[in-house]
Amino acid sequence: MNKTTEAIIDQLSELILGKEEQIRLAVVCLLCKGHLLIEDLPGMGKTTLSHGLANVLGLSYQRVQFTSDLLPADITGSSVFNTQQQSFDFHPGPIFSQVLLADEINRASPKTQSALLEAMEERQVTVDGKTHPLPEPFFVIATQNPLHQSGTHPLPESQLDRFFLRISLGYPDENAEKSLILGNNLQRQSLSELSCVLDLTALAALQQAVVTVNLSDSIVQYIINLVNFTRYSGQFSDPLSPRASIALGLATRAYALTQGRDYALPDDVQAVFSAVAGHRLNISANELEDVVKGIFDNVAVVL
Amino acid sequence: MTTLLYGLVSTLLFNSFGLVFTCAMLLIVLFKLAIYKNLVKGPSEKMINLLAFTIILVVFVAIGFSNLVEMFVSLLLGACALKTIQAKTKKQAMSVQLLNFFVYPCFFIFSQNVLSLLFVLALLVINLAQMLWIEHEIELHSAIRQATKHLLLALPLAAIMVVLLPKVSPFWQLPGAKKTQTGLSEDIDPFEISELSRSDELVFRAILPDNAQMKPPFYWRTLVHDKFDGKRWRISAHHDVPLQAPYRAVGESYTIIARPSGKTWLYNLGQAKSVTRGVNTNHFGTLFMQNNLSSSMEYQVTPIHVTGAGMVNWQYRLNTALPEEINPLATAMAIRWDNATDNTADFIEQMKQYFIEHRFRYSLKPARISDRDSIDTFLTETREGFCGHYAASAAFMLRAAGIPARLVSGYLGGEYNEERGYYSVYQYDAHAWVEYYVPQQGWYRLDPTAWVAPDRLIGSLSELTELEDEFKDNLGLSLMTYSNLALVNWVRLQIEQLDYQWTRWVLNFDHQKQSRLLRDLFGQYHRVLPALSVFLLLIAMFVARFWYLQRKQLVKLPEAVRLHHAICKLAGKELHKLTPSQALLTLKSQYPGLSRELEEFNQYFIKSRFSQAQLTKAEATRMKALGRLIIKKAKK
Repeated sequence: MNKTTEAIIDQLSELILGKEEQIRLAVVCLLCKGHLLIEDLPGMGKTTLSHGLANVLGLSYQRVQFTSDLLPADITGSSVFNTQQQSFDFHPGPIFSQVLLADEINRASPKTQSALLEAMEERQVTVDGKTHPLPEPFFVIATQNPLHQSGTHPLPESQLDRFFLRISLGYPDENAEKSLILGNNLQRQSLSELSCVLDLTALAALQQAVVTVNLSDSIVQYIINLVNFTRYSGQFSDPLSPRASIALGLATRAYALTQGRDYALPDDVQAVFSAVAGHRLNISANELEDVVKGIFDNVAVVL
Repeated sequence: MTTLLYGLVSTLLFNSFGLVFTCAMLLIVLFKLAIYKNLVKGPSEKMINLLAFTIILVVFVAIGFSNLVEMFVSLLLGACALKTIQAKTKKQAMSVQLLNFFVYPCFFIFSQNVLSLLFVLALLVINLAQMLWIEHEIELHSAIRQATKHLLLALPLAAIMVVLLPKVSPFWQLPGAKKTQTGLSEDIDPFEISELSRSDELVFRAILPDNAQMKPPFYWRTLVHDKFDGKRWRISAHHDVPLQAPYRAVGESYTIIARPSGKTWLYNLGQAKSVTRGVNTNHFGTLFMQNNLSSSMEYQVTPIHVTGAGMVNWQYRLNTALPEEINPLATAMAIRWDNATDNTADFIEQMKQYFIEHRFRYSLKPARISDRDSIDTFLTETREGFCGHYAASAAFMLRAAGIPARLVSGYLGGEYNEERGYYSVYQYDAHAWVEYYVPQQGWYRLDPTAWVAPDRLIGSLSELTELEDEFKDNLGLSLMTYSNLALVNWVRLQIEQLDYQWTRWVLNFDHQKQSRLLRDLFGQYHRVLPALSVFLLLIAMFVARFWYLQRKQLVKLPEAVRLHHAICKLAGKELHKLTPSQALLTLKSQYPGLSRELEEFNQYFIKSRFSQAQLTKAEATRMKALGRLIIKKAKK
């Protein structure tokens, strides 16, 4: 298991330099069958990451640029009258792909946003009273610009919960940026050259393996203590829900799996905590690090 | 359920609530059982109200307002029983259990001996266990174990509190909670009674000084009946009048521990005076109290001799008064003997000869004589009876001959406990005898029963072999009945002794005894030290409890975690609050020389705490050794 996940992460690391941890979290999200939210400024490599992930896993990929005039039907697809057969034919939208990149999701109108979010939750699309199941696996990567940019519709808190993890790529470090400028990575790897590392059955096996990772009682207690701290310390207006604690447990397991272990450590909990909790606690990516450090300082690790 | 249990047992044991109430409680128990077994549905609000009304009615009718204490206790019992039936939810069940804590102490109103203490303790254990069971849903047997443990822990504390805390005398007293079961009564008509000595209940214990002056037979004078109306011997108004005449002490004092009787009279040998507060001597030289004896009491008795032995006219008239035209045969006999003798002693000798010659028999179950001239019938026809018959007849004949005489009732003898040296006197030791007056000398005791059954004078009635069958027959179901079985008798004596100690040291531990004990314990600081030691004890207990809780938590930690904590402590920071790998980093930077050991220890630690696989024995030993090694090396 370790080897497969390492291979995915290695491949993508060559594509996006210096962002191994974020890539690992993206893989964790995929292993947990969750959807990923990437919050960043434009030009940070969000698109590259999602496209690369689809390629590495050999999944079908679609990208939708969300704009203010995007309609729900533009994503889900619509029925078109077939004059020859005198009937309505369903023309599936871009949502019918295994990896969907919803680029700049907060630029679209709330109506379109919620159409996507509903489809994410139910894993099916209903058009003209007919239900069409979405492909398996179905993995949405949405990107979001920080809200101060003009013309954005922020995702409501209740909808943010639909995203399993939120990560932020951030600026590359100096060395990575140097390589980018020099175009070294383009010579070595390009998107189309990424080799497919695993097939669908292998991915399903990996996803199955996540739940077999051992969560010891002390890890569970640590998660509970962390979650309770957000609830009872009075520092957070949107404390973590039980859905968040479930996600925390699952992500911890998947993270341990990507580290090649069949048991979770407190470090795994800490590694996934900000990605799981950040958007649920409604903390902006900038403040996240300090807030999470504060929580870790206050909640002792349970051994 | 325990309320019901309590209700049933107490009603059955004391029978003070009457049969109707007992039946009502029994019905409620059956009803609850039926609900429990799902045979019937729980009662509606309306039905509960109806039942409550019925119970109130039953209580008012069966017990009434004359026995206020019993009425209120039975009302409380009834209310709790209904609450038990009503309880459906966990919360309601808990409230019933809480109510029970108010119900149980009521037991002590009726009985305060060791057995009732054990009974109430057992009820408390059951109640606590039930609370644990209901609240935490733990197994019943472990709930019982826990409850017992807690109660046992509380007992020594309670004992220390009793000894050390200042005693406040009760500011109220229970009005006659005890129904009289005494063998004595203010009015005596022996001929109406066909059976005597039915109760083996303890009346009092006496601790006599260890000298030769006090020898059996012990006549415990209690009541003096000086008014005779032809059928009954009654007590006069003098019973509650304190002694006015001069007296002098004539012997060593002794101690009596009386059981609650609900009466004002007390027990003593001959004429007596007491230094104990609240105990007075009356005109007859017997002791009495201002209030009814509602709880066990210990008092000191000093034998006295009343020196003014003269008798004024009205007293003479009272003590020779007889109604006209009854018992003509006895009267004739008395006058004949009186004419034939010239002093009282000879007259009594004549009387004695008559009883002996005509083969009178001592019996606990004599035939009942109900006609008007009952003494005549007894003297000439039936010729069998117990002390009352002989005493009443003798007193009648003495009065008929013009000799002042009166009936005295009390107790005769007592069972001697050789180990502890005290006498126990039971209700079946009740006895009646006669006192007659000799001018210029005073009152003398005369026991006509002794002429017929001389053995009765030695010890207790229970020791009278001749009447064994009759005695045991009368007693019914009692340990005494089987006292000829060695084991039963031993058990009976052990219980008796335990009860003695209990009464002596717990029930009668009053202000006087306490201050004496505290003075012995603390010397001149006896006013300050007890309170201080209670205070210190409480603090010590809280500290101990706190320490115990803390320690319990530490003990719970597995060895690996304890070692890890110890290693983390080396770095001097709160490293154990971090993840093991973070702690490892810090430790490695602080102790570069130990990197390898720290690394290896960390591996074992993580495996033992977080992985599914258990450490093998070898790995566990290795981990412990590593831990110790790291600590040892780091300290260097």
